[in-house]
This record gives sequence, structure tokens and C-alpha cells, in this order.
Amino acid sequence: MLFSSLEFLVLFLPLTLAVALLLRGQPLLRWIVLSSIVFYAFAGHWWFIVPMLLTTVVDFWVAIAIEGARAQGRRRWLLAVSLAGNLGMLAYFKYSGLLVRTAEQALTALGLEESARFSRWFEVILPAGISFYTFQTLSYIIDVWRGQAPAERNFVRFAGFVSFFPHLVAGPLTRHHQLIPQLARIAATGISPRWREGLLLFSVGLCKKVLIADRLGNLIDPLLAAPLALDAPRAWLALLGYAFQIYFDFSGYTDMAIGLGRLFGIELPQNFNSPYQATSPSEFWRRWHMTLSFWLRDYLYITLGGNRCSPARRRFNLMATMVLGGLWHGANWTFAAWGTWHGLLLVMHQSLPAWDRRLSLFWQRNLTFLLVTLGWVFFRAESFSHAAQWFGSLLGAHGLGGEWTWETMALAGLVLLCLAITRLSRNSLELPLARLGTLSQVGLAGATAAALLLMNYGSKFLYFQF
Amino acid sequence: MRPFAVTLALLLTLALGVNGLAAWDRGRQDARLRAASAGFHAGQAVLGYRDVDERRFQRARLQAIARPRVVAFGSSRVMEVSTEHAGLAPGEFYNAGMSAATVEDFMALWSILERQGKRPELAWLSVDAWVFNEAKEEIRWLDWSDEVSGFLAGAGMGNALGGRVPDAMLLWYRAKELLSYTVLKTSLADLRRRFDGRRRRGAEVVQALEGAVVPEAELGDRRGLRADGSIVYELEYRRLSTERTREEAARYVIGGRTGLEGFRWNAERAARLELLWRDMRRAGVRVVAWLPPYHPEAWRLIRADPQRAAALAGARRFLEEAAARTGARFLDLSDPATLGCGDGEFYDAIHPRYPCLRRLLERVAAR
Repeated sequence: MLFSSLEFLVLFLPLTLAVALLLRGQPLLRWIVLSSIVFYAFAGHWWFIVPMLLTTVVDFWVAIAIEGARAQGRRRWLLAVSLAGNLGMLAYFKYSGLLVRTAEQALTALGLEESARFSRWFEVILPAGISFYTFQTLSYIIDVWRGQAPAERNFVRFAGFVSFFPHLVAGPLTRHHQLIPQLARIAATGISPRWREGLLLFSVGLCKKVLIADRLGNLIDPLLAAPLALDAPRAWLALLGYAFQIYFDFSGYTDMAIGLGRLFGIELPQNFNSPYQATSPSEFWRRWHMTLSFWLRDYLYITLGGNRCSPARRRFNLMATMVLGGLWHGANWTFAAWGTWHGLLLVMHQSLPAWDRRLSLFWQRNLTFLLVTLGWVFFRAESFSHAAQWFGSLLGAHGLGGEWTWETMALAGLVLLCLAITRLSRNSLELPLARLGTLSQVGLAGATAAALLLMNYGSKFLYFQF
Repeated sequence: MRPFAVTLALLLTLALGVNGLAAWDRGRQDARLRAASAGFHAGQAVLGYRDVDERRFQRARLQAIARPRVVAFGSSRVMEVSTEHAGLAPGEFYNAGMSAATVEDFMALWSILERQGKRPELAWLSVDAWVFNEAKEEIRWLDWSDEVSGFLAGAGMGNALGGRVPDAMLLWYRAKELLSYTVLKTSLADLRRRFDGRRRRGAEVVQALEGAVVPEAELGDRRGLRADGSIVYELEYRRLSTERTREEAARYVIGGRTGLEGFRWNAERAARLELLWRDMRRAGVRVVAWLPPYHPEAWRLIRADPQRAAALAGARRFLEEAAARTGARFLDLSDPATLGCGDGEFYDAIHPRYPCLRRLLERVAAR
């Protein structure tokens, strides 16, 4: 079920919220868990709920066992069980396809087509949101193991933390200390919805998704279907368009998720902080998909040694973190390439003191935007050959100028609009929603009405596949 | 918050109002069409069946006819098959063929039949390979996208839940259409048409059924559509010479009109067809599908082009596999030699004449 669907807005949300407003204590938490499971069952295939429930049950009991265990060996063994379970499931659902495809290509190259065909049996469907909830429970287990968090003893509250529907499918990646205390609070006091901030932020997110991201997608997709036919200006337009599409799509979704959380009296963490205003690759990652960046920093980069090691080792840690972070986004080597690209940018930034000293803020910002945008080629391309063709088009290998159609002009206009929005305006969470003026409210209502009418034929959220 | 809520409510009410008004007007038009359609009986034909809203016509006809034993689904390539050709008694056969029909049309037709309690015993599906080409997008089926969405949401549930869930889903999808930009555009165009005093959409169907129905024997050289949904072509089309037909067949391929050009496999549509077969089989309906024959010259040229030949082969492979998975029967009749259809047995590149069609039906009927 998509947030931008009438099923969600007209049926699911009003019913869930109305009942939740009547409840308190355990019944309220049970209701939130139940409705989240129903929501998830409609996110693709009903069986998606099975791995999620399995993760919930296993990690709930493992955390309690870790806390109760005195011997270090037993604690380590229990941690290993959880890590193996979570990462094993993620590997199976998400990466078996990649490994199978890679093996298939290798076998075919060796002339073993029959064996290659056999490997297709291992193709599986990826449950939506598995990367998100797996990382959430992993951070919980690791924190309990490190002694930085107590094990949660209330199963329903823990299930609410894993499955709370606003963040379940595409984040924000919410840590246990950010959500479990809030669930405990609403159970004790009942829900106090923040109607104004919740509904208005949801509307802003809906408009970003439907009116900007989906429109951009409709204009870009036909261009990128045949990158060999792209002349340089249109290849750049498609690239800039995609950079904005993914930002408005994902940040729009996050706004909706945070807005929904507020309707339930829960504040989900910020995920975007005007990333295209970043003045360096390092700052970009403090502003883009912040909850994932912080997760990777806390549980991967620091675990590998972080900054407390030699410069060479630090570079290795950065590269490893970014490559794995890239692969987290999708089971395709192009995502690993995207992560590698960002790893290289981070290493380069750390090794170039001149970046901060010599370049003005204007150039730092534009250079960062350009480098980040070039990286999106790997993210969007279906294969390396697709990426190579697109890079070729960007360099003018397939023509330097062609006929500008109505669609090209529309794309150029939208790209300029997005550039202005991302550079000049405040981001959604900085908007003064609590004291929005009458004119702004009327404008937002008009845009929301247009989005509601247009969303019936909208596309899915890009980040659902991760 | 009040300015936001009031403006949003006003704008949505306006959209709902416009769409609701247009839907009410369309409903009245459809009721008139149903009434006109109910008076259209076996032995009669509608004159000049051309440039009419075929989907609207079929919806009305499916509501008017008695439960048939056999229903033929397909594009214009199946439309000539009549009750007599099928060797059945009047009322036992219905031809639901439509120009450029695609999988979604089959789904809509099937779901209307199901809801009307007119599930046939046997479904014939003439499937054109071009329906699987993503590069050849057909959008006419969007006229009944509510039926298609309803089918997709409720496929398979009809048997288990006595049809109530699919009915509720169809209602829900119809309600959703009231808040759709595409529908709003159509509604505004419909209302403008009405205020300008122009003919409403579908008026030509009503007009034909109310004023252009003649006994079949009086059709003569003219084009017409029989009450069983089968078409009778006008003499001008029927008497095209073999040479002209061969030229036309060559032009069809060389001119890039096969629908197989730039072929990109439409996996979603393929999955929908399989879902439809599965649903039909679950409902106890026997399914026989085929790839219809091409004119020998068109066939030769298609086979000579590796890209088109590969597209056709891909469609055949999928249909074979889908038939095996669903318990349907599939026949690849795209090669005219399979049926012994020669140059003179086609009207053009893709429409077989009766002798060829007869052999096709014999193959379909044989076990």
C-alpha cells in the first residue's frame, strides 16, 4: 500500500487513526502493530510479513538472552545468532539474485549454459523494506550487546518499533532509543496528534512526490530507455532530472512518513537536510539519507576502526563502508560502483585540504553537486554498459545538439525549478508549518488537490526496491 | 489550518462534482444504450459498424445477451467468426472481438460476463503477438480501466467468496475514478461537448442500435455487425484481388505496421494474460488460445526479419508455457501453411477469409 494511494488515505489511515485515538496502553500498541502488519501485507505479497515477524520474534528473545547472559562467550554466540539470522535473511532475499546472475554470466562465458539455467531456481522476490527493518533490529541487538541499551521486555512495544507503518517500508531508519520510548509514552498517555504539523508536512511530501518526482520520471524514462540516442544536452538534462527525481521522491516519502508519525504523536528522525546545498562530499552524506549515513558510521565505519587508525586504514574503512552502503541500495554491481564513487569522493575530500582552503563556498557547493550528480549515473543505470553509454552521451559521443521537443523544454523547465527549490528554499522540516500564512495554506491546498488527482496513475516510490 | 482544509475540501468537491455529473450523464447514456441493445436479436445486423465506441457497445451487449456456451475474445482477426461458423445454435455463441483488442480488453469483457453470471463453458482467445510489445502501447482499454482494476484486484476471489469481494472492489475502483485527473479531463470534455450541443460520446452506438438495425438478409454488400457480435465485411473489402491482397500484405510488413517493430517484451501484460487464463480455468471454463495466421507473403517477410521473427517466437514460447501452467490449450497458427491457407484466402495481411477461418476453427475444435 502506497502512502500516495486512495486506499491508504481514504480507508486505511482514517480507520487506523480513529481507532488508535480511542485506545491506550497495550491495546493501543497492539492496534498499531496489527494495522502495521495489515499495511505491510498490502505492500506487495502477503508473505512479506513472515520474514518481518521472524526477525521481530528472534531479535526480541535474543536481546533478552544477551542481557541475561553473564559469560562473554555466550553473549558473543547469541550476537552471532542474531547477526547470522538477520544478515543471512537479507543476503538470501536481496543478494542471492545478484550472486546467481553473476554466476550465470560466468558459467555462460565458460560455455556452460545448461548449468547457468539451473541457477535461475535460486531467484527470489525481495520483500519491501527488508533492508530497513533488518538494519533497525541489528542496531538494537548490537546496542544491547554493547551494553548501551536495555533489552525491551514488552514484546508488543518491540514489535511496534520494528513494524510502525510510517517508517516500515522505506525509513527513516529509526533507532530503538528514538522510537521505543515514544511508543511507551503514547501507550501511557494516549495519542495526542499534531494535526497541523502532521497533515501539512504530509501534504508537502505528497506534492514533492506526485507533482515533481513523478513528472520528472515521466519525462526522463523515455530518454534513458535509449542512451545511445541521447545528445549531450539531453543526456545532461536527464541526469540533472534524475538527481532531482530521486531527491524529491525519497525526501517526499520521508516527509509523508514523518507527517504520519506526527499524527500518531510520534516524531520520526530527520532524513534529509538540503543535501544539494552541501559544500563537500562529506557534508553531503551528513545531509542525504541521514539515518542510513549515521547507521553506517556507528555500526560499520567505527566498528572497522573509524578514524582511530592510520590514514591508509582510514581510507580503506571509508571505501569499505561506502561500497557496502552502495550495495545496501540494491543487488546490482552498479550500486557497488556508486558506493565506490562516493568512497573515492570522500577519500579525495579528506586528502585535499585545498578543497576547504582555496575554493569559495560557491565553487565547493557547485562542485559537490556536480560530483554527486555524476554518481547518479551508476545508481540509475541498469548495467555498466548502460552507464557507459550514458557517460558517452554526456561527453557528446552521440551528438552535441538535437531537436528540442515539447518534452525536452518541459524537462528543462522542471530542472530549473528544482534547482531553485533545492538551492534557495528551506527544506520541508524547516518550513514554519505551525504558523503558515493563509496564502501559503491556500497554495499548498491547491497543490495537494492537484497531487491527489494525479496520484491515481502515479509511480511507486523509488526507494521501495531497497 | 482552516484555509488549507477549506480550500482542499472545496477543490476536491469541485472535482468530485464535475466527475460525478459526467458519470451520471454517462450512466444515462449507458442505460439508453442497454435498452437499445436489448432489442437487437439473432437474425438482425447493425449497419455500418465503423467508428463506433466498441467497448461501450460490448458492455451493453454483454448485459443484453443470454449466457453463451462459447465466447470468442480477440482483435478484428477473430471478428468474422459467427455462430454458424462455430457450428452452434443461435444464442450459444458470442463474438466479443474488437478492433486492436488487447489483454486488458479480454479481462474487462471476462469480468463483465462473470458479474452477469454469463460464464461460458469454453473461451476462445485469438491472441495477437503485438499485444506483448511494450513499444506498441494500446490505450483504448483505459476506457474501462475500472473493470480491469477490479478484475486484477479480485481475480480468483470470485469463487471463494461468492463474488461479493470483486463486486465491492469494482465499486471501490469506480469510486476512485471520481478522484482521477485523467477522468476529470474526460469529464470536462464530455460536459463541454454537451454544453456546445455536440453529440455525446457513444451517441453513435445508440443511434445505430435505434435506427440502423436491419434483418441480416438485407445487409447485401454493406458492412454490418450481427447480434452474435460477428462482423460481415462490405463487398468492396471482400472482393480485393489476390494480387492486391499480396501487395497489401507486403506493405503491411515493409511499412512497419506489424506491431512487432522495436519489440520490447511486456512482462506485465503477459502476467495479466496468464492470470486471466488461471481465473477462467478456476471458474471451470475451458480455454483454447491461438496465434492467428498471417497472409503467406506477410509471414514470409516476418520470418525473414530476425527481429520480428524473434518477437513472434518469444510470444509463442510464452503462450505455450502459460498454457501448460494454467491448463489452457494453445495452438500456434501464425504460419498459414499450418492451416493450408493460401494467398487467396486472406482479405489482407492479417484477416483470414472464411475457408481459412473454417480450417482454423476445425483445428480449435479438434482435441
